[in-house]
This record gives sequence, structure tokens and C-alpha cells, in this order.
Amino acid sequence: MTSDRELIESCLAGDGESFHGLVERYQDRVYRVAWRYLGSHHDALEVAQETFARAFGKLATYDPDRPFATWLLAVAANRARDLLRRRGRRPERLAEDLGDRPGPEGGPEMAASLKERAERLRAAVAGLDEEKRLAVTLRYFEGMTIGEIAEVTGTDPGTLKVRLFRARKELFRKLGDA
Amino acid sequence: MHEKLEDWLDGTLDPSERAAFEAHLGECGACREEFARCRTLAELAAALPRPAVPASLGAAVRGRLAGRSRPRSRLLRALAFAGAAAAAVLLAAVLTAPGARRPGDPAPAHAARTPAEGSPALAATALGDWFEQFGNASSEDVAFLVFEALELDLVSEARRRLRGAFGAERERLRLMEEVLVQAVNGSSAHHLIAEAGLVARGGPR
Repeated sequence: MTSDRELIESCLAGDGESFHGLVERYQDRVYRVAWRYLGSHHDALEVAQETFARAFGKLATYDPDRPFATWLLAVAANRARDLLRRRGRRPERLAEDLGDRPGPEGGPEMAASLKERAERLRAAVAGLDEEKRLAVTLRYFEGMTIGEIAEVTGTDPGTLKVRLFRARKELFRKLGDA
Repeated sequence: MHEKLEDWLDGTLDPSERAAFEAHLGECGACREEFARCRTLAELAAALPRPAVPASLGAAVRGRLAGRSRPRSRLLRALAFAGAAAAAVLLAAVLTAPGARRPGDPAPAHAARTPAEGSPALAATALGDWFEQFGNASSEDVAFLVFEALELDLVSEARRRLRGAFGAERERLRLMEEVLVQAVNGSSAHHLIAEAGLVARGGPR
């Protein structure tokens, strides 16, 4: 598989088609983060498009020694923040069709209980403030490290750890089993 | 210790720190509870369905990029020729142009952080503040971003941001735009710096 670096170099050398290889590779992740953060399919789609358009324009400023995914998600996070600021609103309830995914293992009873708690978590995450919501999304939904999240959000790792600690406290209070 | 917990989960502690933390975890109920919370959150997050990415996204991006030129090679050549320091000098010269502020205009918030003599580093820092969403951009990055913002599709956004930064300093804003737009039009960086120097001294362009 062609590496990110090769695609980027090719794009900068004049092969615009190479950029679409990056789009295909990262569109799921960018859309998913935007969707978790914004809570709306429509907004996530808009932010994902803006993110790639912006990334295309800024590609020459990307430092190839750093992970492209982190850089791209930083662009996405900024676009999503801008969107929320422009609209001056909190995210919509995450009530859209989420598509199919295999259910958890462990029998129907356990699956139902887990699913019910997971749904409550989703509602609780949507109720967090913007910064906590983004940190939680990247940490627990995307499985990113503190270092990666720090790069994406432009936040000091220490501040980020405190933010996550507080977010967990808030989430478990809302989940009712703090 | 919850900070160490995150590092431990990421595997970024060195061996001695890891051993110490694991010993602590065996004794500290609060840390074990926090660990359990982390694990629960990860499990619940994994149990939620993933949003289905619209099949139309790739095509939409393709449509949005259609007709756009690839990333500013001409500008980059100019910047590479001048180097980051020269780009910062150019920006500093424009930023600190004497006479750019009209009499009676209030000093903008950033003026206090941009000394009259205009250290390139500080000027670049001030520019970086305006484009704060780009984090710790290098002076070359900042110069590039200013150029980028001045290109056609982003002119209004650039003006909005510059107005926010400069307040009433419309004349300085105009000078910046003139010099930078000329850069986009292909003047060599050295030539531009010389021109910016003239602008800074209030001379003809």
C-alpha cells in the first residue's frame, strides 16, 4: 500500500489524484470524529468536506515527520469548533440512524444491558462541554494516546489528563454509577 | 496519580516508573477505581454502533477540489528561496510599518505585543496568534497561511481575521494585503522584502 508520505509527495509534485487516496484512507475517521463531536450527520459531512478541502490547501505546510492522521484530525477539530462557534449552539442529540454494526458478544441479556448503558453513555457524552467531548471522543471512541490527542487539540498533555479525569467523573455521575 | 494512569495505559512510562505505578495501583483503591472507569468507558464506547460514513463523501470532496490548483508551488518556491527567517523579516517589516496607524486610532490589542522595532520572532508570534487554530506554526507556516488566506476564496475570511486583530488600523491592513498579494503574484521574496522595507519607511512602492 502506498504510504501517506508517498501520496503527499506525489500530490505536492502535481498529481492531485494522490490526494483522493488520502481522502479514501481517512474519510471514515474524519467523519466519525466530527459526527461524535457535532452530533449531526449533516454537520459532520460538512466538516469532513471542509477538512479535506482545507488540508489540500495546506498540504505544503504539513510536516512529513509527524503522523498525517493527527495533523488531519487537528484540521477537522478546528473546522468542527468553528462550525459550533459560528452557530453558537451545542451539538444536536445523537438520534440519527447509526448504521449497522455487529452487536457485542455474551448473550442477548448481557448484550441488552451493555447496549442500554452504551446508549446512556452516548447521551452523557453529548452533554459534555465541547473540549471534554472532543477529548473523550478521541480517547475512548478513537483509542488515541494522550500524546496524539494533545497534538490534535493543541492542548498540553497535563491539561488533557485533568480534562479526561473530570470528564470521566461527570460521565459516571450521569450514568448513575459513580 | 491519575496522570500516571493515562501514561501507564498508553505504555509511555519507562520501566522503573511503570513498576512503581503498578505497585501503587495494587495499594490504591482510588486509582484502581479510576482504571476501572477507563476500561468501562472504552468497553461502552466500543459497544456503540459506528456511524455509517456516507458514500457520497468522497465524491463531494472530489467536487469541492475540482478546479483547484495544487498547493501553491509558486509561493513555496519563493518562501523556500527566502527561507523562514526572511519570511519573518518580511512580515515584521509590514507589521511594524510606521505611519500605518492613523492618528487617533486606538492601539490594537496586539500592538503591545509587537514592538516598534519589530523583532521577526515576535511579529511571527503575533501573526500566529491570529491564526491560533494552527497551533505552534513556524514563521514560514504563518507566512504561508497569510498568503493562503489572501487568495481569492479566502479573502473575506482573511479580512475578517485581520480586522479582528488590527481593529481600526485599516491602512496597515491595506499595506499587508498589497505586499502579500504581490507575493502571490510571483515577485521574488528578496524583492518583496526590499519593497516591504520601503513600505515600512513610508516610501514609494
